[in-house]
Amino acid sequence: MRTILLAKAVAGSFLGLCLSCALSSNAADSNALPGLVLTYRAGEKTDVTTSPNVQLFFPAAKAPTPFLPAGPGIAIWTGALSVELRGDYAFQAELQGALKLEINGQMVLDATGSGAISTPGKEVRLSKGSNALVATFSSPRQGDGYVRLHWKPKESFFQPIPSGAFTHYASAEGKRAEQLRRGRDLVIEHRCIRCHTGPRPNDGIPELAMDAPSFEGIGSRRRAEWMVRWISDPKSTRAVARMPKIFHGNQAKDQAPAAAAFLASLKDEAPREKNVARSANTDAGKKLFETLHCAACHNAPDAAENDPAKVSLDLAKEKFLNGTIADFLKQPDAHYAWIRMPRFKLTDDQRSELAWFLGGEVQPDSSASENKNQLVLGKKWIQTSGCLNCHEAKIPNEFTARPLAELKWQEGCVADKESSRAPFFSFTPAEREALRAFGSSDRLSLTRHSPTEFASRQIRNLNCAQCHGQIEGIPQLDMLGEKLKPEWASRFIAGDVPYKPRPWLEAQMPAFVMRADLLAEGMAMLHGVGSKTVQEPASDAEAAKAGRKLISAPPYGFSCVSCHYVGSSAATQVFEAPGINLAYSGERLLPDYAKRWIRNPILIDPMTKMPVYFDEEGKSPLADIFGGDGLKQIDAIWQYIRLGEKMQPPLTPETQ
Amino acid sequence: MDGAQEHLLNRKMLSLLRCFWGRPSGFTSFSSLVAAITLAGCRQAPSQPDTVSSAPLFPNIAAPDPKIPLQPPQDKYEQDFPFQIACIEAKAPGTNIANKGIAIKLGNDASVCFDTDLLRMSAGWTGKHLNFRGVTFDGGHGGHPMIPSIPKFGTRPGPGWADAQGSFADQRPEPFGPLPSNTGRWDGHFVVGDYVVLSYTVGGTKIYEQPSSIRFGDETGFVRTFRTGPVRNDLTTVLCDSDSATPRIEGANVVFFGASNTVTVIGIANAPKGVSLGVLENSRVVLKLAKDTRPSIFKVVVWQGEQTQQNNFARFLEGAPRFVDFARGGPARWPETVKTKGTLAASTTPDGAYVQDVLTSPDDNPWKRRVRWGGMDFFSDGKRAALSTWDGDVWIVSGLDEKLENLVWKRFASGGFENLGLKIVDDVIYTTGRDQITRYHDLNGDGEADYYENFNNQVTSSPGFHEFPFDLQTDKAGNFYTAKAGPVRAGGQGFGDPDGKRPGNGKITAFAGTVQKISKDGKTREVYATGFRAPNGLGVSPDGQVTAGDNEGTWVPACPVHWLKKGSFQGVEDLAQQRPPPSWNKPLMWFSKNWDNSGGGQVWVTSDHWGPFQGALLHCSYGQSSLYLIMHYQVGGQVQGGAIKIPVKFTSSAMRPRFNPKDGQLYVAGLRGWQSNAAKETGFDRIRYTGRKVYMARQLGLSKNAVEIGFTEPLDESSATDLENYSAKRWNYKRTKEYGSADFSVVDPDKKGRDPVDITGAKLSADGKTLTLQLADLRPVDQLLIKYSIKTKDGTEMKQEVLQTIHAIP
Repeated sequence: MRTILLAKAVAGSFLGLCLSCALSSNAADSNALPGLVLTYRAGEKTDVTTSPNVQLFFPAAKAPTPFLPAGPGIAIWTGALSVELRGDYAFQAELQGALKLEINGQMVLDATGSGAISTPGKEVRLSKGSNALVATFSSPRQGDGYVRLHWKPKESFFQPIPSGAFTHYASAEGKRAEQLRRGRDLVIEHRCIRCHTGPRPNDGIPELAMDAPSFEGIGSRRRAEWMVRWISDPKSTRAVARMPKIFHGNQAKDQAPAAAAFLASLKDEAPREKNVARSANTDAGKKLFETLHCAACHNAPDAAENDPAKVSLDLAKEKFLNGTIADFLKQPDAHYAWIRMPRFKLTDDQRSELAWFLGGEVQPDSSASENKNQLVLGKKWIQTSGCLNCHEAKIPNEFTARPLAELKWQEGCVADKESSRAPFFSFTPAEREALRAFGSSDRLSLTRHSPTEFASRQIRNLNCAQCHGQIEGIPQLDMLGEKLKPEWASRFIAGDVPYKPRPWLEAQMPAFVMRADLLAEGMAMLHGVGSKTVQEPASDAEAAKAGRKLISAPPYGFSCVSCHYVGSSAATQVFEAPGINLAYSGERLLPDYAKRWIRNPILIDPMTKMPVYFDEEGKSPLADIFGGDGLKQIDAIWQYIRLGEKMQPPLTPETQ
Repeated sequence: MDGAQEHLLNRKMLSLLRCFWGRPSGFTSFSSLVAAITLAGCRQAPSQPDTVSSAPLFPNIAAPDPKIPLQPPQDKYEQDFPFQIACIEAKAPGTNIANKGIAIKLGNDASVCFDTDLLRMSAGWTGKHLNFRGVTFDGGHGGHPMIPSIPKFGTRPGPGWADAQGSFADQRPEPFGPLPSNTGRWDGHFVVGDYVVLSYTVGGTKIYEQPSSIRFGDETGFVRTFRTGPVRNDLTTVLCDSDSATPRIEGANVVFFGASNTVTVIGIANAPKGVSLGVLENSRVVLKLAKDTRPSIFKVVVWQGEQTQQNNFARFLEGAPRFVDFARGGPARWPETVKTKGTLAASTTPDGAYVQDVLTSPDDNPWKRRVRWGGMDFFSDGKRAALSTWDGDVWIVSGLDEKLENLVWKRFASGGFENLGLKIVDDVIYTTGRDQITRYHDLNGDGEADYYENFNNQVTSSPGFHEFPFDLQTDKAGNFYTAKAGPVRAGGQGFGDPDGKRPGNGKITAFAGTVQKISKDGKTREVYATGFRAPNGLGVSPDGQVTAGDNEGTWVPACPVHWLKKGSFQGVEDLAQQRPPPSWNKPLMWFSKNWDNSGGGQVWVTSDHWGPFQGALLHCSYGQSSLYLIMHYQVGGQVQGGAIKIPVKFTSSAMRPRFNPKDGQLYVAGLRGWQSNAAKETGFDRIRYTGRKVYMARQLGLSKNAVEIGFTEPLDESSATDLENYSAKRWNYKRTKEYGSADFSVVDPDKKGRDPVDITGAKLSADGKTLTLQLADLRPVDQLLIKYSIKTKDGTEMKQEVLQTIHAIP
């Protein structure tokens, strides 16, 4: 077996999303893991993680990783670059900083740049299978640093290296680093900082601000019986629940009902919609459940088997008070800003149909407890058990806990067994070890926001990969950061884009309002792209004119208009493969990606129905425009597309 | 009649006309009528339905009239020609669609549509000729040409002639396809100047019909001049159907009243004894020809106008009916030719063995005709070829020589119904269309078709926009083969219009999604194989083996090359033409999407002037505009194989390949009409062998654990035996009703993706031309892709890919 450099870490969560675009023969090696080991160095300190590609954004004056201080540093990728067949390749990079790339011990690129694309390195022959790779990037002393490594197979053009071509092996150091990260994630996701004071949101990471469902008016939204069940043991209702079991022992059987009774008494006067469907037929709601792909996160109420990793909806009718499911669907984050349930754009009828499917016939509302003693006790338990550290209510919080810095990390919440003295989270042994590893660190990582790690964490927690790359027409996640302009991505994730890019899909992209900006930024940075798109010069009018011709139907151009709308000009022959309205593309797509897609879409998506018009050398079959220079033609198309709403309609015999 | 009376009468007529077909007619008065035009006489006509004879049947008929001035084109897709065949819909009576309608311009702003399946005049109208909708014209999916105005007269879909029992009941097994031959047969039509003469046989009686128009002032009459042979049985044909009004006989005419004071009058002139008008079922006007009526020429005139003008109807009947001299052909319509110059060696394969010579098409022509080649074949001299277009034209190009400097294009025929296949037999041109196989006759040698003979119209056609007629081939016995696409729905998924909500999606008829065999004499058409989605191209080997391509989609997981057997079912279950579908004849091979996403035609290398591929099968990809060498072999009766790309370029798509019988080079014609990476709307290229060495795989074989690849040149042993120079992957497809298929793992069948395959050994034969690659776990698989980067003995580097399908292992 070929000797390859042993990598030092295990795969990160984001890597799991990287589908095998070009997995080569060594991918059959069951010990090889996708991606590369990425080691950061700042002074004497190091941090090890993994990366899907040699792409990185190193923000100025910010920590490149949660475990290193802010400031310039070095990033070193190690692992293997695999190719299917022995062949000659050249490398170049778009970078701000300096990059040295070694393949099989040979320096193949030594580039320093301040934003431009480097001169290609000397062509090098790669062996079939794995080739040892070491890439070292030094961020600039001032300003942002970034790097995006490209290669050029001999017969093709410079392009990003498919992430499936990189592999590495796990190492003890990598496992230790991964455990530390996992511990940090658990602290973040379980909101430990809400009770055990440490960094505050304004000097820490965004998720320190994560709330929990507000108690204000909760009695008008949730059934008391369900709250009893939930409070008594959240995990028994939802295996993936992050809320701990608060009440223990003999008293628990009284405490939970009392707390629930008190919460049920917290009514508000907000008007509620009735989840009475226009028809008592659940088929419409069921169809919606399917077309919206709710099953990505939920077990359907009529599911024969429940996936424990998903939230089951068979209890929805027991959870929601009469009429409140449709109300909840209108704005799931109305009382819980960081809720993972996103907003969907649903009509009143659709919400009603879904509510009917989830809730069935209207259940009689439970009556509020009239046992004053129970209500008093319930209030007391709520005030003294830590509930108000996460949940909002207009009553004094009488709970205190030791600050983070004073925790022993062996007992209390991370104790091996349930006790009467602390909330019980049902952590697995591995999770407890990870928490303890984190506890033994300096915990400064909670003050260092890493956009890329935020994005990876949210993508995992929000189950994005359940739809992206799984459902035809919904793009894979591992390419979005290099594809979409982060400003547009942010608006799209927030639900602020007024159009649906792919209106033919039944599915819709739901809105994750709280996370949109940070998610878009992190996804971009994973690909070495900053959160602000580099401003292009004004569109070249002459080139745009040629671009208009090129997208038009014969005898003018490639007939892109067969499948693509151009603003209000309808596609002429949509068949099998509708295309996105070109008037949207300019604001959506990063220029490099757009041009690469136009040049050879199959290299990006092997299953696409978009044709390849340009040959390997970039020559166009339309020789009468720019002399058949494909690169000029592609740029002209981009200059035209960039005009967006100002695009002139495609050429037709009538417009000539 | 004073003005007030005339006005009142006009209002009554308009009201009646509205009542009849819902819309008023366009004119109001006979007071200024002036005789304008009458029709010309006839001289000679064919004496048999399928041949043209100059023997005079009616020797004493006057000479033809001058041309009627046809209405100029009003639609950008309308041509300067008297007819267009298409699926043509009229707004009345009822749902009136002629699946094979020939819309004829009559002059005087009038048009009629004749349904060649049903031998009925489906409609007559005035005003704009047609709204040219549909995939052939404006590119739209689901539409077809529409008659813009409410017809002045029309007939309901159904037999245009009664059967031997006098019944108009539709005896066809389904409401598609031609009438039973014992009721009537469409023989074809002649074009003489601006006249079209319809030719058909009914109940043993030969009938020629010349539609025309006559005008007095603002009034237009529709004239159907019949020329009948001996009437051997009582015959009845429908002239007009009414949706609501009741026709009645008034004197020698039939009259019925419509809305807004309109009236429709039908009369006959010069009718011999035995010919009469009649009314059936209070709604149908018929023409009867009694048995033994003598051969004769007579005319039927249909007029619709205001009741106030009814008394002037007699003027339409004045004058003797006359027939054009169709048997000798008409004057040339397109005497000009288009001259273009070809481009030699516009592109070259990397090894320099093949070059692309571009035969520049007559895109810039005096008639602004759109040129999109759908069929192509050579005359026996090899210096000329005929090419048909999707729009229905046929062109003949001459000057096919070494230099291609003087290509001369002659427009030969027009008006066809999607002519996507062409074959020349004994230097006579045949095209396949949605309506029929047409055999063209140039009766007077002026280089233009005069007689468009129906060679065989037994194919079914519904209004589906996707019922493309693909390719036309012959076998060594002279039988013809053609294919018909399934009625794919707009949007690309599924077939037909089961609930009648989108008629433009069509119906699954008897020939939908089939390859058909037509006898050498054109008398019979049979389904040869079923279960195709969009088989845009066939191939027939010198010994008669039929192959076909197809387009991925519903039930077609990827593009195949099919190796057909008579009666075989190729996998599209909706189009199996049998229930339950028979067992599936697996294809010779599948193509991965980036190799071929929409198949074209095949051709066998019959030339020994085309490099080292004599006897091989070639396949064209329409979607990828590419050419592939197909390497096939058999394992236990199962034909299977693989492909390697011949790296040539094309001006447009690669669709219709043919070898020139004289220069022995490959010519390929294609168009861009639907999804393809073809940049140009059409192209015609010659792929010429330069005589240089070809460096490619040439043959494939299989043993229990190894793949054998034969090469055109001996390989370098050290390079060929180095496993570093090879890689392989494999995957399967899922054949479902969904559109196409993703790639699926072989070892984990529900997982998307491709599996790597270990190549464990590489051995070279003594002559260095056969490579044996041992593969770990060789097993049947839809797709095995082998990549290699090796050197030949003379040091030439070859980086190529072979894609294959393995159904069976020895």
